[in-house]
Amino acid sequence: MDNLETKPIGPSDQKLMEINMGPQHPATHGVLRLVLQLDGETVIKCTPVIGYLHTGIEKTMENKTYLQALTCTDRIDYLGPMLNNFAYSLAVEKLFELDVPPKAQWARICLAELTRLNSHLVWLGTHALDIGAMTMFFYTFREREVLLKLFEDCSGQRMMTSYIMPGGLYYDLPPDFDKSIRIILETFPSRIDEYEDLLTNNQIWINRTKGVGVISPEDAIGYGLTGPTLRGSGVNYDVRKANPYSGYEKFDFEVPLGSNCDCYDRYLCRVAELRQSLRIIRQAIDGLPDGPFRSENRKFVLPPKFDVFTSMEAMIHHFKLVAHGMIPPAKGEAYVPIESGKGELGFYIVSDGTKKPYRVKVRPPCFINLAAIHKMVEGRLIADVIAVIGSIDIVLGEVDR
Amino acid sequence: MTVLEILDKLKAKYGEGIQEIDEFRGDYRVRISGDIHYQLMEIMYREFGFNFLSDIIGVDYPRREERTEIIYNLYNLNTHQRLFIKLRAGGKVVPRSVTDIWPSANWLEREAFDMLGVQFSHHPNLRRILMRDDFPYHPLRKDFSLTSDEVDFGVPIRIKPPLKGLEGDKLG
Repeated sequence: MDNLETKPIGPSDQKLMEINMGPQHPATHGVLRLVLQLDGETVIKCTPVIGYLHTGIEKTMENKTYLQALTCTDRIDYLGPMLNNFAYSLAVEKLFELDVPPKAQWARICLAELTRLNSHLVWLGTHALDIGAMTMFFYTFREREVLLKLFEDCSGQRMMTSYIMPGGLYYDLPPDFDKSIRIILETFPSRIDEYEDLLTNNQIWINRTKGVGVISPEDAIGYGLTGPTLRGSGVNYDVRKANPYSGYEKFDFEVPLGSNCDCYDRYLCRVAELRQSLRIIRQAIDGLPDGPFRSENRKFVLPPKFDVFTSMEAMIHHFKLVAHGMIPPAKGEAYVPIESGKGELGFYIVSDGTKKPYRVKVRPPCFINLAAIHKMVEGRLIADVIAVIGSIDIVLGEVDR
Repeated sequence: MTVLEILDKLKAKYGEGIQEIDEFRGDYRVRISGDIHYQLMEIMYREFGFNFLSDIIGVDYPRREERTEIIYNLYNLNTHQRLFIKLRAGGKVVPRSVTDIWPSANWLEREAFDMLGVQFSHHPNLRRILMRDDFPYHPLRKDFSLTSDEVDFGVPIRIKPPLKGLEGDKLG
Protein backbone atom coordinates (compact mmCIF):
# COMPACT_ATOMS: atom_id res chain seq x y z
CA MET A 1 0.00 0.00 0.00
CA ASP A 2 2.86 2.37 0.66
CA ASN A 3 4.63 1.90 -2.64
CA LEU A 4 2.79 4.77 -4.30
CA GLU A 5 3.75 5.91 -7.71
CA THR A 6 4.01 9.56 -6.85
CA LYS A 7 7.01 11.68 -7.58
CA PRO A 8 9.02 12.86 -4.60
CA ILE A 9 8.95 16.57 -4.06
CA GLY A 10 12.16 17.76 -5.68
CA PRO A 11 13.64 20.98 -6.90
CA SER A 12 11.97 20.65 -10.33
CA ASP A 13 8.41 20.63 -9.03
CA GLN A 14 8.69 22.51 -5.79
CA LYS A 15 5.21 23.89 -6.04
CA LEU A 16 3.58 20.45 -5.78
CA MET A 17 2.61 19.26 -2.35
CA GLU A 18 1.54 15.76 -1.44
CA ILE A 19 -0.91 15.28 1.39
CA ASN A 20 -2.89 12.40 2.83
CA MET A 21 -6.61 12.80 3.20
CA GLY A 22 -7.60 10.03 5.57
CA PRO A 23 -7.64 7.22 6.60
CA GLN A 24 -8.68 8.97 9.81
CA HIS A 25 -10.69 11.83 8.40
CA PRO A 26 -14.30 12.57 9.34
CA ALA A 27 -15.38 13.29 5.78
CA THR A 28 -14.07 10.12 4.13
CA HIS A 29 -16.96 8.00 5.44
CA GLY A 30 -14.76 5.49 7.16
CA VAL A 31 -11.19 4.58 6.43
CA LEU A 32 -10.66 5.80 2.90
CA ARG A 33 -7.23 7.28 2.29
CA LEU A 34 -6.66 9.59 -0.64
CA VAL A 35 -3.15 10.65 -1.54
CA LEU A 36 -3.55 14.06 -3.12
CA GLN A 37 -0.92 15.88 -5.12
CA LEU A 38 -1.70 19.54 -4.88
CA ASP A 39 -0.65 22.63 -6.71
CA GLY A 40 -1.82 25.26 -4.29
CA GLU A 41 -5.41 24.24 -3.71
CA THR A 42 -5.84 22.43 -7.03
CA VAL A 43 -5.76 18.65 -7.08
CA ILE A 44 -3.28 17.42 -9.70
CA LYS A 45 -3.43 13.74 -8.91
CA CYS A 46 -5.66 11.69 -6.65
CA THR A 47 -4.69 8.14 -5.68
CA PRO A 48 -7.15 6.24 -3.49
CA VAL A 49 -5.57 3.76 -1.08
CA ILE A 50 -8.02 1.21 0.26
CA GLY A 51 -7.93 -2.01 2.22
CA TYR A 52 -7.91 -0.64 5.77
CA LEU A 53 -11.21 -2.37 6.49
CA HIS A 54 -10.48 -5.61 4.61
CA THR A 55 -11.94 -8.45 6.63
CA GLY A 56 -11.81 -11.30 4.14
CA ILE A 57 -15.55 -11.75 3.90
CA GLU A 58 -15.31 -13.69 0.62
CA LYS A 59 -12.83 -16.12 2.13
CA THR A 60 -15.00 -16.55 5.22
CA MET A 61 -18.04 -17.26 3.09
CA GLU A 62 -16.19 -20.01 1.23
CA ASN A 63 -15.71 -21.76 4.54
CA LYS A 64 -19.31 -21.62 5.71
CA THR A 65 -22.40 -23.47 4.59
CA TYR A 66 -24.88 -21.65 2.39
CA LEU A 67 -27.07 -20.77 5.34
CA GLN A 68 -24.21 -19.66 7.61
CA ALA A 69 -22.74 -17.45 4.89
CA LEU A 70 -25.92 -15.39 4.93
CA THR A 71 -24.82 -13.62 8.11
CA CYS A 72 -21.60 -12.47 6.44
CA THR A 73 -23.56 -10.59 3.78
CA ASP A 74 -24.99 -8.05 6.26
CA ARG A 75 -21.52 -6.87 7.09
CA ILE A 76 -20.57 -5.97 3.53
CA ASP A 77 -22.72 -2.88 3.04
CA TYR A 78 -23.78 -2.28 6.62
CA LEU A 79 -26.14 0.54 5.64
CA GLY A 80 -28.21 -1.70 3.39
CA PRO A 81 -28.13 -5.11 5.06
CA MET A 82 -31.42 -6.39 3.63
CA LEU A 83 -30.31 -5.59 0.11
CA ASN A 84 -27.23 -7.72 0.62
CA ASN A 85 -29.33 -10.55 2.08
CA PHE A 86 -31.64 -10.18 -0.89
CA ALA A 87 -28.88 -10.40 -3.51
CA TYR A 88 -27.28 -13.40 -1.83
CA SER A 89 -30.62 -15.19 -1.39
CA LEU A 90 -31.53 -14.67 -5.04
CA ALA A 91 -28.21 -16.15 -6.17
CA VAL A 92 -28.60 -19.16 -3.86
CA GLU A 93 -32.19 -19.64 -5.02
CA LYS A 94 -31.06 -19.64 -8.63
CA LEU A 95 -28.43 -22.23 -7.83
CA PHE A 96 -30.87 -24.44 -5.92
CA GLU A 97 -33.85 -23.72 -8.23
CA LEU A 98 -35.91 -22.71 -5.22
CA ASP A 99 -39.32 -21.14 -5.60
CA VAL A 100 -40.24 -18.30 -3.29
CA PRO A 101 -43.88 -17.90 -2.19
CA PRO A 102 -45.60 -14.69 -3.35
CA LYS A 103 -45.93 -13.23 0.13
CA ALA A 104 -42.19 -13.44 0.66
CA GLN A 105 -41.52 -11.88 -2.75
CA TRP A 106 -43.74 -8.88 -2.06
CA ALA A 107 -42.45 -8.47 1.48
CA ARG A 108 -38.88 -8.64 0.15
CA ILE A 109 -39.52 -5.81 -2.27
CA CYS A 110 -41.11 -3.78 0.49
CA LEU A 111 -38.14 -4.40 2.80
CA ALA A 112 -35.60 -3.79 0.05
CA GLU A 113 -37.11 -0.40 -0.67
CA LEU A 114 -37.19 0.44 3.04
CA THR A 115 -33.52 -0.44 3.17
CA ARG A 116 -32.88 1.79 0.18
CA LEU A 117 -34.58 4.60 2.11
CA ASN A 118 -32.30 3.85 5.05
CA SER A 119 -29.20 3.83 2.85
CA HIS A 120 -30.15 7.06 1.07
CA LEU A 121 -31.04 8.80 4.34
CA VAL A 122 -27.62 8.08 5.79
CA TRP A 123 -26.05 9.26 2.54
CA LEU A 124 -28.07 12.49 2.55
CA GLY A 125 -27.27 13.26 6.18
CA THR A 126 -23.54 12.59 5.95
CA HIS A 127 -23.13 14.20 2.52
CA ALA A 128 -24.78 17.40 3.74
CA LEU A 129 -22.84 17.25 7.00
CA ASP A 130 -19.56 17.04 5.07
CA ILE A 131 -20.42 20.15 3.07
CA GLY A 132 -21.54 22.05 6.14
CA ALA A 133 -25.32 21.62 6.42
CA MET A 134 -25.29 20.01 9.83
CA THR A 135 -29.03 20.11 10.48
CA MET A 136 -29.70 17.58 7.73
CA PHE A 137 -27.84 14.93 9.67
CA PHE A 138 -30.16 15.23 12.66
CA TYR A 139 -33.25 15.22 10.46
CA THR A 140 -32.30 12.18 8.40
CA PHE A 141 -31.17 10.21 11.42
CA ARG A 142 -34.47 10.98 13.12
CA GLU A 143 -36.27 9.34 10.20
CA ARG A 144 -33.76 6.51 9.99
CA GLU A 145 -34.57 5.59 13.59
CA VAL A 146 -38.14 4.77 12.51
CA LEU A 147 -36.79 2.40 9.86
CA LEU A 148 -34.34 0.75 12.23
CA LYS A 149 -37.16 0.21 14.71
CA LEU A 150 -39.12 -1.53 11.98
CA PHE A 151 -36.15 -3.74 11.10
CA GLU A 152 -35.82 -4.60 14.77
CA ASP A 153 -39.48 -5.58 14.91
CA CYS A 154 -38.97 -7.88 11.92
CA SER A 155 -35.68 -9.52 12.70
CA GLY A 156 -34.64 -8.60 16.24
CA GLN A 157 -31.66 -6.65 14.93
CA ARG A 158 -31.36 -3.02 13.98
CA MET A 159 -28.58 -3.36 11.43
CA MET A 160 -27.31 -6.92 10.94
CA THR A 161 -30.72 -8.27 10.08
CA SER A 162 -30.15 -11.51 8.11
CA TYR A 163 -33.92 -11.41 7.67
CA ILE A 164 -34.22 -12.26 4.00
CA MET A 165 -32.92 -15.80 3.63
CA PRO A 166 -32.71 -18.30 0.78
CA GLY A 167 -36.27 -19.56 0.30
CA GLY A 168 -38.13 -16.61 1.82
CA LEU A 169 -37.96 -14.74 5.09
CA TYR A 170 -36.46 -15.83 8.38
CA TYR A 171 -39.58 -15.08 10.43
CA ASP A 172 -43.11 -14.13 9.53
CA LEU A 173 -43.77 -10.41 9.27
CA PRO A 174 -44.57 -8.82 12.66
CA PRO A 175 -48.28 -8.30 13.40
CA ASP A 176 -48.17 -4.51 13.19
CA PHE A 177 -46.02 -4.44 10.05
CA ASP A 178 -48.82 -2.99 7.95
CA LYS A 179 -49.53 -0.27 10.52
CA SER A 180 -45.86 0.76 10.84
CA ILE A 181 -45.49 1.01 7.07
CA ARG A 182 -48.64 3.13 6.79
CA ILE A 183 -47.18 5.55 9.34
CA ILE A 184 -43.94 5.73 7.32
CA LEU A 185 -45.90 6.31 4.11
CA GLU A 186 -47.85 9.11 5.76
CA THR A 187 -44.97 10.94 7.38
CA PHE A 188 -42.07 10.51 4.96
CA PRO A 189 -43.26 12.56 1.95
CA SER A 190 -43.52 15.72 4.03
CA ARG A 191 -40.12 14.97 5.59
CA ILE A 192 -38.55 14.66 2.13
CA ASP A 193 -40.13 18.02 1.26
CA GLU A 194 -38.41 19.36 4.35
CA TYR A 195 -35.01 18.12 3.14
CA GLU A 196 -35.59 19.64 -0.25
CA ASP A 197 -36.63 22.94 1.30
CA LEU A 198 -33.32 23.00 3.11
CA LEU A 199 -31.07 21.99 0.23
CA THR A 200 -32.47 21.98 -3.31
CA ASN A 201 -32.65 25.75 -3.76
CA ASN A 202 -30.06 26.61 -1.14
CA GLN A 203 -27.47 28.83 -2.80
CA ILE A 204 -24.59 27.53 -0.66
CA TRP A 205 -25.53 23.93 -1.49
CA ILE A 206 -25.78 24.75 -5.20
CA ASN A 207 -22.41 26.51 -5.17
CA ARG A 208 -20.78 23.54 -3.50
CA THR A 209 -22.28 20.84 -5.75
CA LYS A 210 -23.29 22.26 -9.13
CA GLY A 211 -20.65 21.68 -11.80
CA VAL A 212 -18.53 19.74 -9.29
CA GLY A 213 -17.37 16.19 -9.86
CA VAL A 214 -18.44 16.00 -13.49
CA ILE A 215 -18.11 12.61 -15.19
CA SER A 216 -19.28 12.17 -18.78
CA PRO A 217 -21.73 9.37 -19.63
CA GLU A 218 -19.04 7.61 -21.73
CA ASP A 219 -16.58 7.64 -18.85
CA ALA A 220 -19.29 6.59 -16.42
CA ILE A 221 -20.09 3.52 -18.53
CA GLY A 222 -16.43 2.75 -19.15
CA TYR A 223 -15.58 2.87 -15.48
CA GLY A 224 -18.52 0.58 -14.72
CA LEU A 225 -20.38 3.03 -12.51
CA THR A 226 -23.86 1.96 -11.47
CA GLY A 227 -26.70 3.24 -9.38
CA PRO A 228 -27.48 6.94 -8.91
CA THR A 229 -23.84 7.78 -9.65
CA LEU A 230 -24.38 6.49 -13.21
CA ARG A 231 -27.91 7.83 -13.54
CA GLY A 232 -26.77 11.28 -12.49
CA SER A 233 -24.88 11.27 -15.78
CA GLY A 234 -28.08 10.54 -17.65
CA VAL A 235 -27.48 6.84 -18.43
CA ASN A 236 -30.68 4.91 -17.96
CA TYR A 237 -29.60 1.68 -16.30
CA ASP A 238 -31.53 0.45 -13.32
CA VAL A 239 -31.42 -3.28 -12.67
CA ARG A 240 -35.00 -3.17 -11.39
CA LYS A 241 -36.15 -2.10 -14.86
CA ALA A 242 -33.48 -3.75 -17.04
CA ASN A 243 -33.53 -7.24 -15.48
CA PRO A 244 -36.52 -7.33 -13.11
CA TYR A 245 -36.12 -9.75 -10.22
CA SER A 246 -38.54 -10.94 -7.57
CA GLY A 247 -41.50 -9.41 -9.42
CA TYR A 248 -40.34 -5.81 -9.89
CA GLU A 249 -41.93 -5.85 -13.35
CA LYS A 250 -45.36 -5.67 -11.66
CA PHE A 251 -44.56 -2.35 -10.00
CA ASP A 252 -45.14 1.09 -11.39
CA PHE A 253 -42.25 3.45 -10.76
CA GLU A 254 -39.91 5.76 -12.59
CA VAL A 255 -36.14 5.90 -12.80
CA PRO A 256 -34.96 9.46 -12.13
CA LEU A 257 -32.18 10.61 -14.44
CA GLY A 258 -29.80 13.54 -14.24
CA SER A 259 -28.37 15.50 -17.12
CA ASN A 260 -25.48 17.65 -15.88
CA CYS A 261 -23.35 14.70 -14.66
CA ASP A 262 -22.37 16.58 -11.48
CA CYS A 263 -22.81 16.18 -7.72
CA TYR A 264 -25.99 18.25 -7.74
CA ASP A 265 -27.69 15.96 -10.26
CA ARG A 266 -26.65 12.89 -8.32
CA TYR A 267 -28.22 14.52 -5.27
CA LEU A 268 -31.45 15.20 -7.20
CA CYS A 269 -31.52 11.60 -8.47
CA ARG A 270 -31.21 10.15 -4.99
CA VAL A 271 -33.84 12.43 -3.50
CA ALA A 272 -36.20 11.56 -6.35
CA GLU A 273 -35.44 7.89 -5.66
CA LEU A 274 -36.58 8.36 -2.07
CA ARG A 275 -40.02 9.30 -3.40
CA GLN A 276 -40.04 6.45 -5.93
CA SER A 277 -39.16 3.99 -3.17
CA LEU A 278 -42.13 5.21 -1.14
CA ARG A 279 -44.28 4.67 -4.23
CA ILE A 280 -43.06 1.07 -4.55
CA ILE A 281 -43.57 0.43 -0.82
CA ARG A 282 -47.16 1.67 -1.08
CA GLN A 283 -47.87 -0.74 -3.95
CA ALA A 284 -46.13 -3.60 -2.18
CA ILE A 285 -48.02 -3.16 1.08
CA ASP A 286 -51.36 -2.70 -0.70
CA GLY A 287 -50.91 -5.89 -2.71
CA LEU A 288 -49.18 -7.99 -0.05
CA PRO A 289 -50.67 -11.47 -0.53
CA ASP A 290 -51.39 -14.00 2.19
CA GLY A 291 -49.70 -17.35 2.43
CA PRO A 292 -46.49 -18.90 3.71
CA PHE A 293 -43.53 -16.60 4.32
CA ARG A 294 -40.97 -19.23 3.36
CA SER A 295 -40.72 -21.92 0.72
CA GLU A 296 -42.10 -25.29 1.77
CA ASN A 297 -39.38 -27.20 -0.02
CA ARG A 298 -38.09 -29.02 3.05
CA LYS A 299 -35.06 -30.46 1.29
CA PHE A 300 -33.42 -27.04 1.14
CA VAL A 301 -35.31 -24.64 3.39
CA LEU A 302 -35.57 -24.73 7.15
CA PRO A 303 -39.06 -25.63 8.46
CA PRO A 304 -40.77 -23.04 10.70
CA LYS A 305 -39.64 -23.28 14.29
CA PHE A 306 -43.08 -24.24 15.59
CA ASP A 307 -43.13 -27.33 13.34
CA VAL A 308 -39.68 -28.37 14.54
CA PHE A 309 -41.06 -28.84 18.05
CA THR A 310 -44.29 -30.53 17.00
CA SER A 311 -43.55 -32.65 13.96
CA MET A 312 -41.02 -35.49 13.74
CA GLU A 313 -40.47 -34.99 10.03
CA ALA A 314 -39.81 -31.28 10.40
CA MET A 315 -37.35 -31.97 13.18
CA ILE A 316 -35.41 -34.41 11.01
CA HIS A 317 -35.30 -31.91 8.16
CA HIS A 318 -34.18 -29.20 10.54
CA PHE A 319 -31.44 -31.41 11.92
CA LYS A 320 -30.26 -32.46 8.45
CA LEU A 321 -30.20 -28.90 7.15
CA VAL A 322 -28.37 -27.48 10.14
CA ALA A 323 -25.91 -30.34 10.62
CA HIS A 324 -25.23 -31.21 6.97
CA GLY A 325 -26.09 -27.96 5.23
CA MET A 326 -27.92 -27.40 2.00
CA ILE A 327 -26.40 -29.51 -0.76
CA PRO A 328 -27.01 -27.96 -4.20
CA PRO A 329 -28.67 -30.23 -6.75
CA ALA A 330 -26.01 -29.61 -9.38
CA LYS A 331 -22.57 -28.12 -9.87
CA GLY A 332 -22.84 -24.70 -11.38
CA GLU A 333 -22.49 -21.00 -11.11
CA ALA A 334 -25.14 -18.41 -10.40
CA TYR A 335 -25.24 -14.64 -10.48
CA VAL A 336 -28.28 -12.44 -9.93
CA PRO A 337 -27.74 -8.67 -9.96
CA ILE A 338 -29.98 -6.40 -7.93
CA GLU A 339 -30.20 -2.64 -7.59
CA SER A 340 -28.85 -1.78 -4.17
CA GLY A 341 -28.75 1.73 -2.78
CA LYS A 342 -25.34 2.20 -4.34
CA GLY A 343 -25.66 0.39 -7.64
CA GLU A 344 -25.61 -3.07 -9.17
CA LEU A 345 -24.94 -5.55 -6.42
CA GLY A 346 -24.63 -9.27 -6.99
CA PHE A 347 -23.10 -12.41 -5.62
CA TYR A 348 -21.35 -14.72 -8.06
CA ILE A 349 -21.52 -18.15 -6.45
CA VAL A 350 -19.47 -21.06 -7.78
CA SER A 351 -20.67 -24.39 -6.45
CA ASP A 352 -18.75 -27.65 -6.61
CA GLY A 353 -21.73 -29.67 -5.41
CA THR A 354 -20.78 -29.72 -1.74
CA LYS A 355 -22.42 -28.02 1.21
CA LYS A 356 -20.10 -25.01 1.05
CA PRO A 357 -19.83 -22.57 -1.84
CA TYR A 358 -16.53 -23.07 -3.68
CA ARG A 359 -16.20 -19.37 -4.34
CA VAL A 360 -18.34 -16.33 -3.59
CA LYS A 361 -17.48 -13.10 -5.35
CA VAL A 362 -19.32 -9.94 -4.50
CA ARG A 363 -19.87 -7.42 -7.24
CA PRO A 364 -19.34 -4.39 -5.01
CA PRO A 365 -20.86 -1.21 -6.46
CA CYS A 366 -18.98 1.08 -4.05
CA PHE A 367 -15.58 -0.40 -4.94
CA ILE A 368 -16.16 0.08 -8.65
CA ASN A 369 -17.69 3.55 -8.26
CA LEU A 370 -14.75 4.65 -6.14
CA ALA A 371 -12.29 3.61 -8.87
CA ALA A 372 -13.49 6.55 -10.98
CA ILE A 373 -12.95 9.21 -8.30
CA HIS A 374 -9.78 10.56 -9.92
CA LYS A 375 -11.81 11.39 -13.04
CA MET A 376 -14.10 13.57 -10.95
CA VAL A 377 -11.62 15.44 -8.75
CA GLU A 378 -8.46 15.99 -10.78
CA GLY A 379 -8.14 19.65 -11.75
CA ARG A 380 -10.67 20.71 -9.11
CA LEU A 381 -10.19 22.29 -5.71
CA ILE A 382 -9.45 20.26 -2.61
CA ALA A 383 -12.78 21.26 -1.03
CA ASP A 384 -14.56 19.62 -3.97
CA VAL A 385 -13.01 16.27 -3.09
CA ILE A 386 -15.22 16.18 -0.01
CA ALA A 387 -18.32 16.90 -2.07
CA VAL A 388 -17.39 14.19 -4.59
CA ILE A 389 -16.72 11.52 -1.96
CA GLY A 390 -20.15 12.25 -0.53
CA SER A 391 -21.87 12.22 -3.89
CA ILE A 392 -20.62 8.80 -4.98
CA ASP A 393 -21.96 7.34 -1.71
CA ILE A 394 -19.33 4.86 -0.62
CA VAL A 395 -19.47 2.47 2.28
CA LEU A 396 -16.00 1.30 3.18
CA GLY A 397 -17.29 -2.02 4.45
CA GLU A 398 -18.24 -2.81 0.88
CA VAL A 399 -15.19 -1.23 -0.76
CA ASP A 400 -12.78 -3.34 1.30
CA ARG A 401 -14.94 -6.34 2.19
CA MET B 1 -29.15 -10.36 -31.94
CA THR B 2 -29.76 -12.97 -29.28
CA VAL B 3 -27.00 -14.39 -27.14
CA LEU B 4 -27.25 -17.70 -29.04
CA GLU B 5 -26.63 -15.95 -32.36
CA ILE B 6 -23.63 -14.19 -30.87
CA LEU B 7 -22.29 -17.54 -29.71
CA ASP B 8 -22.80 -19.04 -33.19
CA LYS B 9 -20.88 -16.17 -34.75
CA LEU B 10 -18.05 -16.56 -32.26
CA LYS B 11 -17.91 -20.31 -32.92
CA ALA B 12 -17.78 -19.74 -36.68
CA LYS B 13 -15.05 -17.17 -36.31
CA TYR B 14 -12.75 -18.81 -33.77
CA GLY B 15 -13.48 -22.54 -34.06
CA GLU B 16 -11.01 -24.24 -31.74
CA GLY B 17 -10.49 -21.07 -29.70
CA ILE B 18 -13.95 -21.50 -28.19
CA GLN B 19 -13.35 -24.43 -25.88
CA GLU B 20 -16.69 -24.88 -24.21
CA ILE B 21 -20.14 -23.32 -24.17
CA ASP B 22 -22.18 -24.02 -21.12
CA GLU B 23 -25.74 -23.08 -20.23
CA PHE B 24 -26.82 -23.16 -16.59
CA ARG B 25 -30.15 -21.78 -15.32
CA GLY B 26 -30.48 -19.50 -18.35
CA ASP B 27 -26.99 -17.94 -18.26
CA TYR B 28 -24.43 -18.63 -20.97
CA ARG B 29 -20.78 -19.10 -20.21
CA VAL B 30 -18.11 -19.38 -22.87
CA ARG B 31 -14.67 -20.77 -22.12
CA ILE B 32 -12.03 -19.48 -24.49
CA SER B 33 -8.36 -20.22 -25.01
CA GLY B 34 -5.62 -17.82 -23.99
CA ASP B 35 -4.37 -16.97 -27.47
CA ILE B 36 -7.63 -15.45 -28.73
CA HIS B 37 -8.52 -13.79 -25.42
CA TYR B 38 -7.74 -10.13 -26.08
CA GLN B 39 -8.88 -10.26 -29.70
CA LEU B 40 -12.23 -11.72 -28.66
CA MET B 41 -12.69 -9.16 -25.91
CA GLU B 42 -12.18 -6.33 -28.39
CA ILE B 43 -14.74 -7.87 -30.72
CA MET B 44 -17.21 -8.29 -27.87
CA TYR B 45 -16.88 -4.57 -27.23
CA ARG B 46 -16.83 -3.27 -30.80
CA GLU B 47 -19.07 -5.65 -32.72
CA PHE B 48 -21.47 -7.01 -30.16
CA GLY B 49 -21.78 -3.86 -28.05
CA PHE B 50 -20.87 -5.28 -24.65
CA ASN B 51 -19.96 -1.83 -23.40
CA PHE B 52 -20.15 -2.56 -19.69
CA LEU B 53 -17.69 -4.76 -17.83
CA SER B 54 -19.62 -5.57 -14.71
CA ASP B 55 -17.12 -7.68 -12.84
CA ILE B 56 -14.03 -9.86 -13.07
CA ILE B 57 -14.18 -12.99 -10.96
CA GLY B 58 -11.22 -15.19 -10.18
CA VAL B 59 -11.61 -18.76 -8.98
CA ASP B 60 -8.68 -20.82 -7.76
CA TYR B 61 -8.27 -24.47 -8.79
CA PRO B 62 -4.95 -25.45 -7.21
CA ARG B 63 -4.68 -28.81 -8.97
CA ARG B 64 -4.67 -27.34 -12.44
CA GLU B 65 -1.62 -26.15 -14.30
CA GLU B 66 -3.49 -22.95 -15.18
CA ARG B 67 -4.76 -22.59 -11.70
CA THR B 68 -6.93 -19.47 -11.88
CA GLU B 69 -10.16 -19.33 -13.81
CA ILE B 70 -11.00 -15.75 -14.70
CA ILE B 71 -14.63 -14.99 -15.44
CA TYR B 72 -15.49 -11.76 -17.22
CA ASN B 73 -19.03 -10.61 -16.52
CA LEU B 74 -19.95 -8.63 -19.65
CA TYR B 75 -23.12 -6.65 -20.07
CA ASN B 76 -24.70 -4.79 -22.96
CA LEU B 77 -26.43 -1.65 -21.70
CA ASN B 78 -28.49 -1.26 -24.88
CA THR B 79 -29.87 -4.77 -25.36
CA HIS B 80 -29.55 -5.82 -21.68
CA GLN B 81 -27.75 -9.05 -22.48
CA ARG B 82 -25.28 -10.64 -20.13
CA LEU B 83 -22.55 -13.06 -21.12
CA PHE B 84 -19.84 -14.67 -19.04
CA ILE B 85 -16.47 -15.30 -20.66
CA LYS B 86 -14.14 -17.70 -18.92
CA LEU B 87 -10.43 -18.10 -19.30
CA ARG B 88 -8.03 -20.43 -17.56
CA ALA B 89 -5.00 -18.37 -16.63
CA GLY B 90 -1.80 -18.94 -14.71
CA GLY B 91 1.37 -20.83 -15.59
CA LYS B 92 2.15 -20.07 -19.22
CA VAL B 93 -1.13 -18.30 -19.92
CA VAL B 94 -0.78 -14.64 -18.97
CA PRO B 95 -3.86 -12.79 -20.22
CA ARG B 96 -3.56 -9.29 -21.52
CA SER B 97 -5.23 -6.64 -19.40
CA VAL B 98 -8.51 -5.32 -20.80
CA THR B 99 -8.09 -1.95 -19.09
CA ASP B 100 -7.78 -0.13 -22.43
CA ILE B 101 -11.16 -1.55 -23.53
CA TRP B 102 -13.02 -1.10 -20.25
CA PRO B 103 -11.29 1.22 -17.74
CA SER B 104 -13.24 -0.48 -14.94
CA ALA B 105 -10.97 -3.51 -15.39
CA ASN B 106 -8.12 -1.61 -13.73
CA TRP B 107 -9.15 -2.15 -10.13
CA LEU B 108 -10.90 -5.46 -10.82
CA GLU B 109 -7.73 -6.96 -12.28
CA ARG B 110 -5.71 -5.55 -9.41
CA GLU B 111 -8.10 -7.25 -7.01
CA ALA B 112 -7.81 -10.56 -8.87
CA PHE B 113 -4.02 -10.26 -8.76
CA ASP B 114 -4.05 -9.37 -5.07
CA MET B 115 -6.44 -12.11 -4.00
CA LEU B 116 -5.42 -14.93 -6.35
CA GLY B 117 -1.97 -14.06 -7.66
CA VAL B 118 -2.95 -14.12 -11.31
CA GLN B 119 -0.80 -11.96 -13.58
CA PHE B 120 -2.01 -9.65 -16.35
CA SER B 121 0.27 -8.24 -19.02
CA HIS B 122 0.08 -4.62 -20.21
CA HIS B 123 -1.68 -3.53 -17.02
CA PRO B 124 -0.92 0.13 -16.21
CA ASN B 125 -0.43 -0.41 -12.50
CA LEU B 126 -0.62 -4.02 -11.31
CA ARG B 127 -0.14 -3.63 -7.57
CA ARG B 128 -1.91 -5.04 -4.55
CA ILE B 129 -5.08 -3.20 -3.73
CA LEU B 130 -6.68 -4.62 -0.58
CA MET B 131 -3.74 -6.26 1.18
CA ARG B 132 -0.61 -4.38 2.14
CA ASP B 133 2.23 -4.27 -0.37
CA ASP B 134 4.56 -6.60 1.53
CA PHE B 135 1.91 -9.24 2.24
CA PRO B 136 3.46 -12.52 1.11
CA TYR B 137 0.35 -14.52 0.21
CA HIS B 138 -2.69 -14.40 -2.03
CA PRO B 139 -5.49 -15.02 0.45
CA LEU B 140 -8.24 -16.34 -1.80
CA ARG B 141 -6.08 -19.19 -3.05
CA LYS B 142 -7.35 -22.46 -1.68
CA ASP B 143 -4.01 -23.28 -0.06
CA PHE B 144 -4.18 -20.13 2.08
CA SER B 145 -5.68 -21.63 5.16
CA LEU B 146 -8.11 -19.90 7.48
CA THR B 147 -6.11 -21.12 10.46
CA SER B 148 -2.34 -21.31 10.64
CA ASP B 149 -2.34 -24.97 9.50
CA GLU B 150 -1.25 -25.84 6.01
CA VAL B 151 -3.85 -27.41 3.76
CA ASP B 152 -3.01 -30.81 2.32
CA PHE B 153 -4.23 -31.29 -1.23
CA GLY B 154 -2.34 -34.53 -1.82
CA VAL B 155 -0.25 -32.80 -4.46
CA PRO B 156 2.86 -30.72 -3.85
CA ILE B 157 2.01 -27.05 -3.85
CA ARG B 158 4.73 -24.53 -3.26
CA ILE B 159 3.92 -21.95 -0.68
CA LYS B 160 6.22 -18.96 -0.46
CA PRO B 161 7.77 -18.79 3.01
CA PRO B 162 6.74 -15.75 5.02
CA LEU B 163 8.99 -12.76 4.85
CA LYS B 164 11.48 -12.22 7.63
CA GLY B 165 10.05 -10.41 10.59
CA LEU B 166 6.52 -11.50 9.84
CA GLU B 167 6.49 -14.82 11.67
CA GLY B 168 4.69 -15.58 14.85
CA ASP B 169 3.01 -12.86 16.80
CA LYS B 170 4.42 -10.14 14.61
CA LEU B 171 2.19 -11.26 11.74
CA GLY B 172 -0.68 -8.91 11.25
